[in-house]
Amino acid sequence: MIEQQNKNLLKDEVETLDPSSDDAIIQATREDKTKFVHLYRRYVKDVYRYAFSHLNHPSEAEDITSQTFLIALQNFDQYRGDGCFGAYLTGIARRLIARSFRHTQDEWGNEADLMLDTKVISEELVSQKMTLEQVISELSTIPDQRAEAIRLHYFAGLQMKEVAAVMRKSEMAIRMLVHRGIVDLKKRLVNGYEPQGEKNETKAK
Amino acid sequence: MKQKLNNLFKRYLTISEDQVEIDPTFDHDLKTMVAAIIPGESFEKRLETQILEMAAAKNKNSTRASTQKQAGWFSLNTPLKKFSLVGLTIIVIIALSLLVSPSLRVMAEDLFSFWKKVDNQRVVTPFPEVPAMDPDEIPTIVESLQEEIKSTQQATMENAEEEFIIKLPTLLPEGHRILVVDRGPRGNAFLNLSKARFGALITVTIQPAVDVEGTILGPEGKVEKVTIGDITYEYVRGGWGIGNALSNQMDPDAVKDLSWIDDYDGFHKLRWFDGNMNYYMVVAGNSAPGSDRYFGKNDLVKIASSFQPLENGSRPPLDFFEPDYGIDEKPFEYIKDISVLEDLVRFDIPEATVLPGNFSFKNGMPVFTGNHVIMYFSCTDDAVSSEEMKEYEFEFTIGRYSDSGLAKEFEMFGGYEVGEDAFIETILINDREVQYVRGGWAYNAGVRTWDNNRKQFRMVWYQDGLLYNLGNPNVFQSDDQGFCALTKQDLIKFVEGLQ
Repeated sequence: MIEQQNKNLLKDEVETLDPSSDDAIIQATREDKTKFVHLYRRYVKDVYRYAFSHLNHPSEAEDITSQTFLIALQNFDQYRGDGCFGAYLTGIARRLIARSFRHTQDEWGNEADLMLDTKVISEELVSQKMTLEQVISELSTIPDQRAEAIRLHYFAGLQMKEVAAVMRKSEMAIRMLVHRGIVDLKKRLVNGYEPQGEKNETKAK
Repeated sequence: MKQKLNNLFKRYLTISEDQVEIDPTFDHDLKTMVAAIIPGESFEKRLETQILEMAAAKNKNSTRASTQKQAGWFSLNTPLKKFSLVGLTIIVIIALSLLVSPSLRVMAEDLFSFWKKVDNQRVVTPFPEVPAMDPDEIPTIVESLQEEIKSTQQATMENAEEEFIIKLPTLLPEGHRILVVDRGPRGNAFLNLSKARFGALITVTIQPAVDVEGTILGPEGKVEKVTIGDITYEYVRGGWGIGNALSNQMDPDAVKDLSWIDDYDGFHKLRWFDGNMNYYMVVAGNSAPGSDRYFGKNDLVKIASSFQPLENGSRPPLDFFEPDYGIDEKPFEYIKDISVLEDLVRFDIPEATVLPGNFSFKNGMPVFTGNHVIMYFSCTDDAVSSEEMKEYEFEFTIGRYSDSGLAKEFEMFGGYEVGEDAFIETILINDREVQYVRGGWAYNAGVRTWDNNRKQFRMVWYQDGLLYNLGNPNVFQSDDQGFCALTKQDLIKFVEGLQ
């Protein structure tokens, strides 16, 4: 039965849904919840990547991804349709991850995030040394908000303005966070640079 | 130092977007690397299947809710396969409500699409008795539901630290019990506090208050409020139009086109908010205060105000009380003066200048805020037996559906079901086509059979946006209607005489 539904949905996808538009799928899903599978297919990898960037573990990332989509479907009628659906999903995943880690939300000083580091890093050096595992590992060593902005932009595939909506900051502030986070990453990837106490110092501000 | 920092902040707070352009090489490399992170194929397929199953279940629930909303009952011919206890209870509530007031049921079945021919014989699956659950299971289920609601709410709401406590009744009417505690179709908690198959049904839906924010229980002026301690209980008797009796916490905009029936087959509702939760109690009984299937405001508030949370993981103790069965509540009164009735409906009621045999107007009621009227004409045959006076009646309903939302509700029924052998006769009366069917369904040992010789009839016609329907659904086959007989000619004369 499910297989048949899948076939029907694929047919529907081709015939009726505009693949470029979330709105059309969301509208269709309001009428028929099985259309949610189109949103699932569109965003499953982004949600998984985002979860993976936090957890660095496939099965844990899968758990968060599953929960995210099932919660989103369960509460679909409450989705108001404002903003990107991917950002909505990422918001759910973000809360699930925070809860699973029992993280407290760190309040990093915004002013600190705006201070740009002008040190030049050799791009070639970065490319040679960068591996996925390193990136994810180093993300946990840089200030949380910078790391989160990078995860949301690169791993969850959100646009800067969507990251801004999720993190409740201005788009400009998000650009700053991403930029600063990348500078931090480069330092660590090239030099294994890990300034002692930086994270805590920043927190203290 | 402070001045230095201030200078830095000032400088960077006014920085332009170009100054934070992201290094394109790093950007490309990182994106390429991230693109390689792909969930396992089997995981993706498994989750997709799970989503489709859940979505299909949600569709089914939504269709069921929609069916209730639009039609208000399920076909008795649908085989009961694997219903949840919640679904089963809902079906029983609806079925009981229909048994209580056949007039509304028949009206809903008959209007709009006149006829639908079906098999002459069908098996009618009886409603099974709802089995009571093991009371020891209740705390575990309650805790699991609390956890689920909390988890769902925390993942989608900002107030992530809120608690969502489900309370249980500690006081119930004699003979009632906590029959079922279950997960409702939308992840809510659902309680059935009934007496198994017989007696009034009492159900409670418990859900996060935020889910019903801004909804109303009934029209302003109909809802009564009782405050005990910090909690205000809202009570109303009746329901929105056909089929909406179970979903009475409605968005005010959604009920603009719906109408309210004060006496909805013994439906009573009570709702209250406690902590972050909303409690919505529905009682399906009957419409006669004082009867043992009528629970009024006092009884419902007594039950509601007894709700308590689990105590150290155990069910709070349960006690029982003798209800007053709404003995002091005003019974629903039919209107005996046809001119008063006419003032309450939105069209002119034609005057019946020729009445059949020994019949006369008995009473009537406006329904659907005046879009429909049901009138009863009765004949009292005290000659049938010196010991027993008999009353026969037929009903005459007029419904305005051309500009009301009711057409959609009646479409659900697909017309009045008659057997494939039924003879539908078209009669021309005063230049209008009137359709007439004689016969009815006989029920025996779980089998429904169409019988052309039954003493039931139905006569239907449509004129100027109004649907007229004459019928005698409550006639008993054993009744001797000699003095109160109703022939086809009597009915034709009745229709001819309408002015």
